[in-house]
Amino acid sequence: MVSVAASGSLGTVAETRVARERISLTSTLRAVFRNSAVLVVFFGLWQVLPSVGAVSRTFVPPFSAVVAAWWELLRTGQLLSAVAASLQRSLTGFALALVVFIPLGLLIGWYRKLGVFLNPLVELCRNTAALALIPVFILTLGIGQVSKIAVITYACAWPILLNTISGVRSVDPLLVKSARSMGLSSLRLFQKVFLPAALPTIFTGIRLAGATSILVLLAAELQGATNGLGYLINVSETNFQIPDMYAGIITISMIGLIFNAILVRLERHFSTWRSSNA
Amino acid sequence: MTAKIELRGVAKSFDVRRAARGANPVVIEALADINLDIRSGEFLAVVGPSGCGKSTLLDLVAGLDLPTAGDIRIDGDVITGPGLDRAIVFQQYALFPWRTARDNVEFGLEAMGKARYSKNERKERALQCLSLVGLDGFEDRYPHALSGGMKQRVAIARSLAYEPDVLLLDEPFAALDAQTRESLQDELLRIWRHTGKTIVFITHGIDEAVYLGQRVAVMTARPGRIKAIVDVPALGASDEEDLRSHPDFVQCRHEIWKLLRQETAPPEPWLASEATPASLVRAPHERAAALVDVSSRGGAPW
Repeated sequence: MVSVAASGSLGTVAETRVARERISLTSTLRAVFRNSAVLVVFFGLWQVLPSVGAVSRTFVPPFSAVVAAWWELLRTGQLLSAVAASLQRSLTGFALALVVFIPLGLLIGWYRKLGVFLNPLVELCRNTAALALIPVFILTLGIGQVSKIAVITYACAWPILLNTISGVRSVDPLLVKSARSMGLSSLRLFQKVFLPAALPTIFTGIRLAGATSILVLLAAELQGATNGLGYLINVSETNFQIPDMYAGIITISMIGLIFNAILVRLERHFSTWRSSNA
Repeated sequence: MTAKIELRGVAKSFDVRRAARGANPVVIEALADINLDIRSGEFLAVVGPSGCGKSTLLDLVAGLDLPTAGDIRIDGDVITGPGLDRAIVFQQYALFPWRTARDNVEFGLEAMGKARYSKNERKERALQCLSLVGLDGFEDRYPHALSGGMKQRVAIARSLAYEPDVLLLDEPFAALDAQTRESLQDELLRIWRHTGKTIVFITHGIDEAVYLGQRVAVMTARPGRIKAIVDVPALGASDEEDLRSHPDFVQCRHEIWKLLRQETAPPEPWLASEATPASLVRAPHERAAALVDVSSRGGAPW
């Protein structure tokens, strides 16, 4: 009697597990479809409209032609070298911004007087478009690698700086009071309360800067570059190799997407304690 | 019994800037001429009307702020700052949200330095304290995954972990529902009997004060003074009985109620809530540490 009941319940458990897996599989497929349906439509139209002559094939080649060009660029190694050159610039500029502007933001957030002193300059700079400064960087730093990296660093600086400052400033005063009641010194207070409390906000800045570093890259590479994705796109356009140009554009979009996904993952990892993410 | 903490002629005033621009700062007298002896190992409850400076009094004893006049001594030494001989428990828990329950309890131990506690000893001590407040098995939970009552238990465990002589509680159960509050009150009494700490318990609830305290200090309206100290009759250890309906309890409760009724709430709107003076006015050195300027909130983005 007992064993029958037990095996019966085991059977039900196994069945429900199979059913649950089936449900989760179909729901995953459904989710994939839901999230990518609009892209399927987009690329479908890109394929069909030029093919039937609704838009000029010369200026907008069908998507399949772009994929073929992309594959060709990948096969000849042109694409990889362009990606490598671009990533090197983006990541160097991005890393420089992290190294310089996170500590600066922490200082400004911590020392209120320094913040008051620097505020007008920061406001002026962050409202000056990085792209507008490209000629200035080229004039002062030359047409080589340095000026391109400088533009990227400049553009990445502001989201990082502003988020770091606001992260440090918006720490709950009650937590500070509580830590002080346990006799923490200023340095320990900074290390044990301000830094961890500000980390999620700082990471939001880092993620925004990551996106910026890819967005600004192209503009930086349009002038005086001899390699990189921006150069590839520019040269393809002037040589009228339109599918190559689109291949370059798609590549840069993909890099931006991947970089952002990595940073979002990291950001989530460092702020699991926020109830909204749990 | 000897005095653990002595307050002699303690006064505290704040400069409050009015909301209107250009107005001169107004000096608010929060506490005036406080004389109080807190005995070693006693449970002292402090009640007073809203805005009478109860929390300010606790901040002073905690060493988070310094009195404008008079002095506060603990074991005969003048209090000049915070120390691990005194622990404070806040109404809003003040748990570090990025730390698990266990790591929160370990915070004070970390502040003591590695010389006092090794990593393993810290962990052991934290688990022991969490167990003392009835939170076995919750050590890996983050605060956002705990109920209000559990958060306050963690906060109490954190304050017990570094073995202070004095526990200072600032309306710790005011934000909890009635049932949770009652069970935590009993837990606190149990912990007090178990550890023999000196406890100063701020509350605005007369029932709570009489139920918990051996003595109840009644404060006047602002500027806060000690109006009277009422001895709570020992009602025996008959735990099964509903102490709150005991005639002696009712009598004592009524006595404090009469004392408090004579104190009227201050008319100024910015003092209507007693949270206001503390959050509006911060001592300069604390402001430097907190770096949060209330006036700039919602203004510039940083």
